[in-house]
Amino acid sequence: MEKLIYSLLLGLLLITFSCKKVVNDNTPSFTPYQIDIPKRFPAMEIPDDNLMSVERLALGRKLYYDPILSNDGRACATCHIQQIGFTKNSTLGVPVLPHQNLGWNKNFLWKGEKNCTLEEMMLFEVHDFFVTDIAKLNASKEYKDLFYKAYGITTITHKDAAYALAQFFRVLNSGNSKFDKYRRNELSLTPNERNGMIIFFTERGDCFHCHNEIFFTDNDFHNTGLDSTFFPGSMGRYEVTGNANDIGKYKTPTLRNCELRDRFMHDGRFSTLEEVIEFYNTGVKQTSVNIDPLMVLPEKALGLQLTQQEKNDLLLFLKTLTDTAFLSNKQLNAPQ
Amino acid sequence: MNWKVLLIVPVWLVAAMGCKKNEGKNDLQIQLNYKIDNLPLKFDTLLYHCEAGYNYEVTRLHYYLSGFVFTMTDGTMYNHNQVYYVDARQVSTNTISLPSFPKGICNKLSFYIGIDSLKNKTDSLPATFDNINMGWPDAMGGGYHFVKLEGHYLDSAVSKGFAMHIGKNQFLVPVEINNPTITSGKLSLTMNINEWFRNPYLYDFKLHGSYSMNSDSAMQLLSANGKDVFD
Repeated sequence: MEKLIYSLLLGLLLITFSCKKVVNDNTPSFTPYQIDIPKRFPAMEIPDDNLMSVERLALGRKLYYDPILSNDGRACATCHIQQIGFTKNSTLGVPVLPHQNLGWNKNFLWKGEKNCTLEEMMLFEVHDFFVTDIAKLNASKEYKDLFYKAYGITTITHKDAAYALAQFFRVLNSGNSKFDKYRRNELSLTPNERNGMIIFFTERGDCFHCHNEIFFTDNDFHNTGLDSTFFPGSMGRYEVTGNANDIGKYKTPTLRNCELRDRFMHDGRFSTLEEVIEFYNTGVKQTSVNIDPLMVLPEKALGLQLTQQEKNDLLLFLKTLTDTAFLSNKQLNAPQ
Repeated sequence: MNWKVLLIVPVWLVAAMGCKKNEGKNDLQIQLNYKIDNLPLKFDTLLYHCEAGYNYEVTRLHYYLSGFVFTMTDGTMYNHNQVYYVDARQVSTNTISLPSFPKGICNKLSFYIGIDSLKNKTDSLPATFDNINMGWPDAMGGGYHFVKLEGHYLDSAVSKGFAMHIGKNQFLVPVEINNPTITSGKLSLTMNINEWFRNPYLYDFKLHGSYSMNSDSAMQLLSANGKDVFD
């Protein structure tokens, strides 16, 4: 009987411990960090092997602003400037997609070149985009100490740098714009902003099917009829999938903080929001291959036909998506 | 020794009960399939012909299923209230698993395409990317899209778009299937997409609208047609 009891006790202990997650072993300092998720946003998935901590987040933030990651003097923040929504306005190259709310994202880059977790995307950035010389990080006593403190490691790898960066990306969350406050009944929109909102969220403008109410992107790919002919290098998602049905499709960009940008669409062909609105109003190329069905509804064959007042109101609504608290949040700027 | 027994037995019982399956009950797996009359659905392929006379293709099919009720031959009922999001392109969403399904023969199955009025309210479903994308804006009444069926059709050789979107409580689509064939815990349901466009009403894009979201009359027709899209 004594043996049986001890066997049962041992079994119960095994059951108990087999259910318990073992995390953060070998991590000298682990101060749990709770992400401030904006109201109405989904819960964020955090991988067990990169749980949020104050030390890891601080390290990720430092890396984001440090040109040590690159070999040409650039940091992430060189092209992702907080004051304009962690993007960059430049007439050169492909328009920079903003670093906002990417903790919920699965499709990255304009053509969805990466469909992966945030950690995997950061590994791409470190290993393939910046081609980080990891020896430089390992030669830095400061970074060696910080990585040891945050992750309990003595040799830094590309993966470790990527994991730290992912921590910082998970707090780059914009969800406190005037529109968000309106939805939380904290303030009112002006009559014109409200009219613009109604255009946006009804079939009058039909913006909402691709730019949903929370993220203002559906995280999907569409051909909205920008072009009717396509050439190698500008064929959109097709260049990733090889599927002819993806010719001309690009990722829906978020409209949060779009007021601050001066390059729009995947090739930056428009420099003002007025031009973007006018494109949808009168400029959609309806014969474009793979054009989204919503762009070629026969009832809208002549475009949206918005009046000038409606266009003005729509623009005013788009400006309510500017999140000044996010743009000036001192927790997100370059660490001192 | 007695105190040890007193300590261990209740703990062991709790642990053991946690592993115990409901006797006589197993999960029911529902497999969702798609066809257009005699042809299997192949997205982005202008291969199909609808009753109103157009050739068409399907580019998107997203919808919700909810309110499952199985009536067994002995009169008992199995209710399952969970809401399921389905993206016909995504294999993982086309298999639904209902827990603790009773043994016995089922002679009637009913469910909704869409979400009942208690849950069809803005933000009532968990905030996932899929549910957010299915949102029916408050400016149009709030809640969720029940169905998004989109594609292109040919009108005199010109490609045009269609967007059959259904929402609003009054257009919830009730489905009833008599004597569903459940074999080895599996039930196969097949949606015939052409049924959205016929029976009892012939739906003509040019006549009734190529998009339905702002048209109660169009949604009324689609909702009525939707009752027998599954078999």
